[in-house]
Amino acid sequence: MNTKSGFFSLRKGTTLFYPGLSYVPGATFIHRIHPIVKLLVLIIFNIAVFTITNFQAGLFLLAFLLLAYRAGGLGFSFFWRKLRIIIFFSLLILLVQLFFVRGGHLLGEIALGPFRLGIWSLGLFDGLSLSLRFINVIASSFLFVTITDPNRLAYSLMQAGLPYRLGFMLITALRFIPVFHLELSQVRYAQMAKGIELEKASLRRLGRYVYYLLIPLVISALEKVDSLTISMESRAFGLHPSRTYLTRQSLKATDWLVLASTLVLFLVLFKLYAGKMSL
Amino acid sequence: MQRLGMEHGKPIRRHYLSNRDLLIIAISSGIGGVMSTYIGYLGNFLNRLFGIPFGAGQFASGLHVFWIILAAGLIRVPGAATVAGLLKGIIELFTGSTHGVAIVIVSLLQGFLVDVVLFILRRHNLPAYALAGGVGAASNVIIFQVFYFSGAPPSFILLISGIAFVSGIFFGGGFGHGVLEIVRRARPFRLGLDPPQKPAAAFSQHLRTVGLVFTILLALSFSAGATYYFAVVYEPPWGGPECLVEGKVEKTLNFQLSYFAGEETTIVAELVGEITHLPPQEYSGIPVRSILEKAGPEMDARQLRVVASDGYEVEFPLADVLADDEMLLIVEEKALRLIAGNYPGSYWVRQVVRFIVE
Amino acid sequence: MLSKRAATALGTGLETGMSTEVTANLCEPIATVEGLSFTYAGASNPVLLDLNFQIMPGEFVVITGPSGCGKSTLALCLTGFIPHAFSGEMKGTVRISGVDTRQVLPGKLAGISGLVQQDPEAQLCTLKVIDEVAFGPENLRLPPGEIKKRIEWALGAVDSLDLLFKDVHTLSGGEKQRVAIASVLAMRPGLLILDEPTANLDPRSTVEVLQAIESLRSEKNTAIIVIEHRLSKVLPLADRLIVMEEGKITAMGRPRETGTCYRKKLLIRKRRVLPDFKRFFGGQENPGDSDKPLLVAENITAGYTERPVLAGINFQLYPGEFSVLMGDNGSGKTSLLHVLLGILKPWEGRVLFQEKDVTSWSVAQRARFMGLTFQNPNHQLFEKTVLREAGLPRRFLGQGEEKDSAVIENLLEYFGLLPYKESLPQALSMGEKKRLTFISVLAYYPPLLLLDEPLVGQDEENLAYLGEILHEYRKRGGAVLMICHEPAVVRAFDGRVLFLEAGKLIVDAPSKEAFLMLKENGYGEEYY
Repeated sequence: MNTKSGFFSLRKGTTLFYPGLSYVPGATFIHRIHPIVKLLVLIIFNIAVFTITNFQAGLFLLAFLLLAYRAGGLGFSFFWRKLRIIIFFSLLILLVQLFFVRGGHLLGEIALGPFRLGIWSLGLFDGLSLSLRFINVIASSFLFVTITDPNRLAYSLMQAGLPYRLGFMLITALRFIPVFHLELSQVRYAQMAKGIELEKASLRRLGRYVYYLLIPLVISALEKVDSLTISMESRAFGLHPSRTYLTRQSLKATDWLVLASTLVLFLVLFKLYAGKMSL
Repeated sequence: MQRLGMEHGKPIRRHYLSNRDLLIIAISSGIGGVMSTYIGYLGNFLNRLFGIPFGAGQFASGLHVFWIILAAGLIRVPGAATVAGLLKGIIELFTGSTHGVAIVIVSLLQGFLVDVVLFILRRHNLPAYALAGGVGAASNVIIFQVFYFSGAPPSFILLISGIAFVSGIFFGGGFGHGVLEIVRRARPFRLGLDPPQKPAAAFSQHLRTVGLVFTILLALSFSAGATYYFAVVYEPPWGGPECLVEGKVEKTLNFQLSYFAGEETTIVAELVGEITHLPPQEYSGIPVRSILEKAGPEMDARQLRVVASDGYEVEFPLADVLADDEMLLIVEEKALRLIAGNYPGSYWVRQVVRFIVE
Repeated sequence: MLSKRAATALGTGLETGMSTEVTANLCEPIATVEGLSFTYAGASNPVLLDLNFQIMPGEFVVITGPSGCGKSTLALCLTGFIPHAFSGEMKGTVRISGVDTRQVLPGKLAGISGLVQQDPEAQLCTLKVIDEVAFGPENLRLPPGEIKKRIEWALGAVDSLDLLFKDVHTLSGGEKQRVAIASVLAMRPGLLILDEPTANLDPRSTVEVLQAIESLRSEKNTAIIVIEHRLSKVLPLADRLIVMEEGKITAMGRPRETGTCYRKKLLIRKRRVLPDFKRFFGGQENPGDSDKPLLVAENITAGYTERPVLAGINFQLYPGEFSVLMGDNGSGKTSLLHVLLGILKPWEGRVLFQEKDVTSWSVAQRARFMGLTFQNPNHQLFEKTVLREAGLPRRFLGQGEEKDSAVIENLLEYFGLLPYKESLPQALSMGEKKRLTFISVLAYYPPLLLLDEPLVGQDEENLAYLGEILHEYRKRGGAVLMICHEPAVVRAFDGRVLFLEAGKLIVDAPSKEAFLMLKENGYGEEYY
């Protein structure tokens, strides 16, 4: 393990890999779909991804996703920027399958010195199907996160019957995400100022350094619990089993339409491709 | 921990998890989610250095379970870890986890397993946290293999589960216990205090030993079961008996019978051999005809040579085979066997590995 | 206005506490405290000892006292969290609107007695201002129409209607605190308690919040209790001042007289023995070669993403000099300290230390001669004992493995932390933690101290000690650059003022002149 180059080099890590994903407000058609419907479509989509293993279906699902990205006003550059790491990994998966699976037709052979590496059709199709599955799961999640206001989702779920005490856990956790990001950088600054350099931690001292990171973060996070509990309970949180809401998040006809049509679409796809294998 | 309220002098139990418990979960999942996103990307960074997907990142996987153990240790009510795991997964999803929705399931399972281990052990100490951390961390490997089976051999899966398990013991359980100890002494909150430790009665001591043994057995069988499943039961597409069709064919074909799903037929045949004789019975399999047609014999091909793994081979006129409905390839004892209904017993080749069209 | 439905939702017997009815009972106290004592579980001494007082509807009461006198515990008693949510032993009774707090759950007092706490960050639980203010009324199951009315009224009452559609995380500290007040106010409590609502705020936000509190005075139906260290701002608003010391009420009466009396008393406290400075800072009292600047900041421009936070900052610090960095939140004070230490890389400009260009040096290299303490001590405590924590930078910055722990113990003793030397740093109080981080930096004796609001949360006594030690440090040639919001303190230290406005250094002068310049520039009296 290359700890010298920075096991915890957060900055390096973030600039390289952190897609900086969060809800981006927008006014497109799919932005305006009811958040619960979006959640259901996401779930149906992912069930389809995992139950239909055929690669043609995978391509079809990817096309569906790209259309949705497009409808959400997120162009190809967005897709590429956020997903390049994922695409890289899926290529890796494809390569692994290509070189290690022997099955189906022999498509060709690559001579690597004394070795002859056969490329078999099953390797190709399995590889495609697995890497498409990988891309589809993650790309669909990224799209969902980008177009769904988690706050509205939580309020909608509570109005749909989720106990509000649980719903507010999600809201409160979301509320403190920017705070925690800030605190994380504060802790890192404080470490630097005191001469603690995580980047230079050796494997032997890594444990101590992780402690130095976790302790201040945990303590300052938990110090909020008392204030929060008092603040929420003194505003009647949990007093009654139910509560009212200032704004109602109701389902519109278009929401039902979207839900029904995706359901039909995926049922058709399921009927067409489920259990079939390409050779 | 005060889950009891007093109303009109009478204690009443209001909720299974108090508001404060819920907020502890929310806060630790929130910060865990924020941190895990970083950890995840760092893991991927390492993966890229190694060129293996889902591999080296397991070194840090215990740090994901840490937050769940933290919540469980602060609240000490069965179920808290499960809720914390779920919430942490959702937060990770919304902060851009590289695993997408899969992270919700992974995290939920981690929380659940932490709960299960702590519930069985019925204690909150270093060994319990270490075991819970190890099991929780290792579980993510299994889930990911189920989700995206990437062709890794079982030994590799075992290796990375092992790394994850050790990481869970140290980063999840060890740090969890250490940090909880500091939190307990630092008392960042005064609201509600820890319940007085129950005096360890002889009986409960007994129960604990039983619990410990049971958990270790459970953990062992869990990992053994998972390994067995992947090594033996689970048939990846390239697993199972394979057979190669080559020679004068348009496309060389390497196949398993499962490729021909939907073309199974059943025949009744009688084995008439020089030594063995089996009365007529049913055999189900794929007609050799269909297999050969898939490979496409060339026009000038005349015969089919069937080769067994031990080198035994028999020959058939190709034209006869292509017209024969009584010749099947079946799976017997994890190998392929030729059923040649119209031929004597010596043609019923066991452990078929190759069809050579000549 | 409370609907009938909501009133029933609150439970029977509490209707008398409803704001609308209070007017009818102006002679009935909203809160009655009789013989109240409280001891936290595990503590040997009571925090509160035999308190007796009443609060009348519409009254404005200020409660003050040194740190740890039990003010905040009293606030918890008045909202019913004690005895319900905290373990400990409570004696005596607290009646809010005639209801004994012992008999109901704290949630049931919601809408009657509301609490705004010190930390604006940790008491907002939703993502949007509108949701935050609606939170309480929604929990009371009020109909949407009524909730809407209350949001408008409550935000209006603290003059913050413009914040309605904002995201909570984009608000400033003062705005957050105003939203916190509004969200409690939306419950229409008969009694509103504000526990040091301005403790974490800069002057501008403090004024905003105080104005909001002042405008609440016109709400005749709400009694207000403000718990405050800094009396000067709130005293003019008060009808009554209660002084608490060591859990007891030591004075109660008309604000001006009681206040003056209390302040005099603070001055005649005993002083602790000064540490052995000779041994610690080295023998000679030598302000060094004060002709040569210790630190030069040249044309510093820096920022985080695309937004510049600092623009063309130039200044010099000389050995033995005491400088105070002032300015509103967001004006770039903290960022400036970060640039000096190298945490934030400047886009342009140079930092020179003792005439060497250190702009490209790493943080660790610079930290050897620049000691920085951050605002929130929680983010900078890492070790398992106070003693180890105090010696941590010394160890990491390569000044030996606690070779002279006597020095550190000396400092701990001076700041009253020696009894805790083996305890966990995180278990200390906020003020103690701040002193500890200060000690840990002082312990490796860098020639320059960069202090980010070290005085917040310190009572007058500790403030004096801090002043004294900084004075000794300067006498021996050390320079101090400190962020501080309180003009009174700046005056007492009699240093130089660097004032930042939106990333620009607009004033750089000795404090007297600087304050005059600020006055001319149209800054309000809270700045000087």
